[in-house]
Amino acid sequence: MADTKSLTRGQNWARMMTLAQAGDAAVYERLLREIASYVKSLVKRKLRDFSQVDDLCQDILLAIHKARHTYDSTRPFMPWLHAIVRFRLTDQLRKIYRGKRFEELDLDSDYHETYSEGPAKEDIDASLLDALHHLPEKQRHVVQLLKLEGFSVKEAALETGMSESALKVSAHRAYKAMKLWLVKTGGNDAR
Amino acid sequence: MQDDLFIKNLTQNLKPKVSVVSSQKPLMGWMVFTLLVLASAVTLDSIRDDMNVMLGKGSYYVELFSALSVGIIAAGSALTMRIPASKAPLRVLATVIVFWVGSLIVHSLRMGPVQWTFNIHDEFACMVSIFVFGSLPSLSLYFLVRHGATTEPKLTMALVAIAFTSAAAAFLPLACGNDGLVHLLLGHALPLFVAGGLGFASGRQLLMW
Repeated sequence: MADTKSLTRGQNWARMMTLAQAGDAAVYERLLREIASYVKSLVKRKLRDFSQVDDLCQDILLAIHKARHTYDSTRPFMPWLHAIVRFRLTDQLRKIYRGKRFEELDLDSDYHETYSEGPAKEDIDASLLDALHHLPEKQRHVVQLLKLEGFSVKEAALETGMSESALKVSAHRAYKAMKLWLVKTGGNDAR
Repeated sequence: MQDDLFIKNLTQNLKPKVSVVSSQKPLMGWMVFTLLVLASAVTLDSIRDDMNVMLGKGSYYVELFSALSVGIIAAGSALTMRIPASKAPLRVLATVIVFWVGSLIVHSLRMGPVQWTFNIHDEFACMVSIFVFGSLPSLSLYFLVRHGATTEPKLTMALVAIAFTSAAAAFLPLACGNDGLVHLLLGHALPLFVAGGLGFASGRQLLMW
């Protein structure tokens, strides 16, 4: 048996998949566990809604399981794996975008009322407000205009006297700083 | 369901799987099957009266072999595309298709003066013949491809469609006595593009796994 430490991850997984194709359940289980954590890290980067990550990962594992007879042990494993991940991920993203395209807003719903008036300050998580207060004055003003008072980028740019691109950069830096603050202080959902 | 439990479910009762990575054997099998089906279909349909004249022209053989080449390349590519991360030789295929269409034009010119007449019934009859002749080869190739796990379903289904239409179009001149340029382009070549487009449009639904 080859020394697994001297093999790269792809080579190791290729060897394990070959054994799995021959019916070795224990090796296959270990392979799927390793792939699961790898795939999860890949998928997290692409999906904004973290609640869908687990479902998609299981979907990808199922796809790998169904397609295991198509792996050629003489070829690299990683391109084969990535093709399946990309295929399933694209499918998932297509579902998400298709769902959004046909999403209808009920004009009488609470959702609409809340957003038409803008989110009330008292509803915002205290930790978010705390992070907001720790921003520099200019960035705080930008976030307040865009997120609390419902200004568009164009309107906020006119209000602050900044160019639209400068305003976007400032907002981006502010969100980043808020995220860092939330992570550092252990605040609520860092997203 | 937790990942652990899910993985346990997938791995219990694991059985060895026969690999489908080689596309040579299924391609050979498909070619022999297609050859038999199309030869039988043409024989049962009708053989053209001026067969000897046509067989005496070199341009017919160029047309025949270029159409068969399109079919073989498209079928081989579709079978290769069953494997995730595989690529189809699309440039080669496009070149051979252009060559085949060119050979149709040359064949038409060699068979007699250019006929610009247009008879929709003739063209439509040949289109239908191509789809009828190619129905069994198309189904067999579809099931062979479906046995794999393509990550490019649209392209793969288009290749399946191109493969069976070009194979059927290669045999069609044996039954069809019309060598008019318009007829060959509309009745013999156009179905390939129509079928390719339909295959591309329906690929996601037909080859989902």
